[in-house]
Amino acid sequence: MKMQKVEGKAEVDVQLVEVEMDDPSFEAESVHTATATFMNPKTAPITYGAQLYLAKTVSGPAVASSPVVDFTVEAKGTLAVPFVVTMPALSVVSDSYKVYLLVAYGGTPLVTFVGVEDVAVYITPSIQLIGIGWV
Amino acid sequence: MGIELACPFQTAFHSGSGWLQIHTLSLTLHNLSPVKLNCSFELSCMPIMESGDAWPANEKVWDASLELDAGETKVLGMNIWVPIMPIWTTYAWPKVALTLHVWADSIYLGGVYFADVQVP
Repeated sequence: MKMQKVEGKAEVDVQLVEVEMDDPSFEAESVHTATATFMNPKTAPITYGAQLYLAKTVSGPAVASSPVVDFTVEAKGTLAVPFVVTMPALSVVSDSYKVYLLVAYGGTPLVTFVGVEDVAVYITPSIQLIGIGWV
Repeated sequence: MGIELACPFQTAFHSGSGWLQIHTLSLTLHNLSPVKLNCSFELSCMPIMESGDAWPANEKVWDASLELDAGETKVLGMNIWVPIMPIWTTYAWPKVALTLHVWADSIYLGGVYFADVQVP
C-alpha cells in the first residue's frame, strides 16, 4: 500500500519505505497484519515507537489500532515492523476507513502517514428461513 | 455469506392449486447478522416437465422488501399467483417450482428452491 505524509515535520529522520498488507477488504472483527518497512539514513541507530490505526480522519477517533510497537533501526539499515490490527465491529453492513501510521520518538509524535487507499470493512449478511407454509 | 434453510422443502409442497389462482404462503425469516439488514425478496416460478426437466424461463410472481434488525425474526405473508404463459399450455406441465431469491443491502444471498405447486 502506498502511503504519504499527512502530518508532522517536513524533515524527519524516519523514512517509510513501504507498507505491505493484504487486499484491503476485511471482514469485521477479523485480525490482520500490516508490515511497514522503515529506513534509517543516519549513521547512528534510532529507536522509534509506531502505531497503525484506522479512522475517518487523522485526528480520529480510531476505530481500530495496533499496539504501539517500539523498534530500533540500525544505522543505514532497514527494518520491517509488523502491526497487528483487529478490524472494528460494525453497525452497518460495510464501511471504509483510512489507514494511518503514527511514528513517535521518545513519546513525541514525529510524523503521520496515511494510505492512499482506504480499507473496506464488511459484515457478511445472513438470513435464515425458519419456516414456510401455505396459509 | 448466505441464506440458511431451517425448514424441510417437502413441507412446502402444495397440491390442488391451479393456474392464475391466488395462493398465500407464510415465510418466517430470521436475521443471523449482527446488524440491521434491508432485505428484498423475489419469488420466481418455473414450469417443470413430467421428466423433471425445467423449462428455462422464470416468471417473477411476487416481490417484497423489509427491514430486519439484528437477530430479529419476522413473518412475511406472500400472496402469489401461478402465472400462465402461452408456451406452457402447449405441454402438460404437471407442476411449477417456486424459488425464493434473497438480497440483503443489495448483496445477493442466493436463491432457495423451496416448493412445488401442483397444477391440475
